[in-house]
Amino acid sequence: MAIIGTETEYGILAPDEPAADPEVLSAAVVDSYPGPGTPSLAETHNRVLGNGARLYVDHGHPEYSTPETTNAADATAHDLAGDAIVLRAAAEASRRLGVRLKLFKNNTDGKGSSYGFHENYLLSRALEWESIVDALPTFLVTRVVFTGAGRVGLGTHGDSAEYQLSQRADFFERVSGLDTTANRGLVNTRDEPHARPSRWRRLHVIAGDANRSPYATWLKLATASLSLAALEAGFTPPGRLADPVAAFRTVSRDLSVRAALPLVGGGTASALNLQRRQRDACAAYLATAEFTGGDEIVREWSEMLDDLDRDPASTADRLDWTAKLGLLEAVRERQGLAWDAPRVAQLDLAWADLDASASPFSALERAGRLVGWIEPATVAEAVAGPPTDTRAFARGYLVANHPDAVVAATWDSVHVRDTRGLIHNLRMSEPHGHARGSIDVSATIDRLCADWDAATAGRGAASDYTARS
Amino acid sequence: MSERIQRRRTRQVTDDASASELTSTHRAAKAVDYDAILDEIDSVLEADAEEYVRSFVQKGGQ
Repeated sequence: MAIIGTETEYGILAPDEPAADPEVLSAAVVDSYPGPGTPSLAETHNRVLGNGARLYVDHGHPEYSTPETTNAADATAHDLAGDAIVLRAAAEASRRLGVRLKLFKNNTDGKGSSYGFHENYLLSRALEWESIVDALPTFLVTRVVFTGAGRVGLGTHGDSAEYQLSQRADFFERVSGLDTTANRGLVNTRDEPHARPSRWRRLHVIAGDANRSPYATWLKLATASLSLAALEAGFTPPGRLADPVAAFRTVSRDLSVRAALPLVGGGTASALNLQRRQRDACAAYLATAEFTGGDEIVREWSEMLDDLDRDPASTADRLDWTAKLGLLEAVRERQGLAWDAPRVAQLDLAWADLDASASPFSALERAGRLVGWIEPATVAEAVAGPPTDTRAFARGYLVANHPDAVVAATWDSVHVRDTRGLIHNLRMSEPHGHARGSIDVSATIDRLCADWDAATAGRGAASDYTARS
Repeated sequence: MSERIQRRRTRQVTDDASASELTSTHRAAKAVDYDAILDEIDSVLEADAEEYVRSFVQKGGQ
């Protein structure tokens, strides 16, 4: 069973005080979230919430990490819950600070800065790293045809005001690497599993866009998690991009989605062709293994690739980049505007604005022009509580129901003070464990600690456990 | 949780109940009223688009 999570760094702006320090604004957002969560300590501004998520400040942005989920639909619901939570927090922070605050789910300011949307997938340690580095760049580059959030501006500083598919493509300079803030690699080599390292690896994918469309978020996570499961089972299609970094820019700039991309060993293939090969490898894998929801993923993926092949505009009910392009082309035509018109750049920015009254994305959604993929009630559940089928349940349960007892919480442990004042380290090194049903929710905190201590006593976990804060 | 989401997840065009089973061809054929979309948000967008876009400067991130 997969373990999936996302991390979003939100753009932040006080429109009436544009010089305000983003660290201060972001800290105020984190501190102001009124829902259940660990307290925000001065200097750290790092909270674990009652739904098992983490809300914190990173590089001058409010950042939200979803709790661990087992499938793309749950991960998408929790990704959308993050939007709702930071929006609520920003409203409270705005009231406290007395300034208007705006939050943006995008990945660049068009002035040289980029900030991330990261995906996390738990992989078996048995999978060779070399096979990941071999297969992943081609997949990550060609999936831009459906994961792109759309961007007005080419180059890191938007020197040329034309449209491209991806917010992130211009900010990657190498195939693999550890850096995330400069000289970024398509495949990030960070290896912090937040779990038993002898058993698990966490693949940290930093090359994706933050999508507003829930369908695009779902398809991005669903195709990646299925492709990684297929790779773990040895199913990988033929065809590798000769120069993935160059191809990233080529695919992002190709509104026709037809560009011929040079392959290792000669010849070319289009992004759609390489995605179809990946889809076929996944279908072959599904014929041999159980993967919950796999048939639905292949069906939606196939229809998407066919629709893009026939007419990219036909995907405007599902994808950010085609929906945004449709809007901007209509505005340009009616008002006689060039791509470098301020009005066009403003609408590109407003697309990412989490304020539903200001975003054309939200207006299209209200008008029923985007498929309703995740129910609002499901998102509300993800705001209110943790997933029930991972250790996030135990984390969220303890934070929400025993706030006075929780001393600290990380991904793989919760430190709890019992009524005698003793601190217990409730370890959760297995992400699939500690789900609903594993905890007696009627028990007192002392009973919970005693049960936990008894359950983990005698196990050799400590020697294989890496504490992280 | 996952099973419940799976059941609920359907492709629906929300403004037209009878259109819930439209093919993508049909969906695309129905033109979007962009004027109405823009009317909805124009009253809350900053009047000075150029200044607003210029003021959006972010720190680098991950």
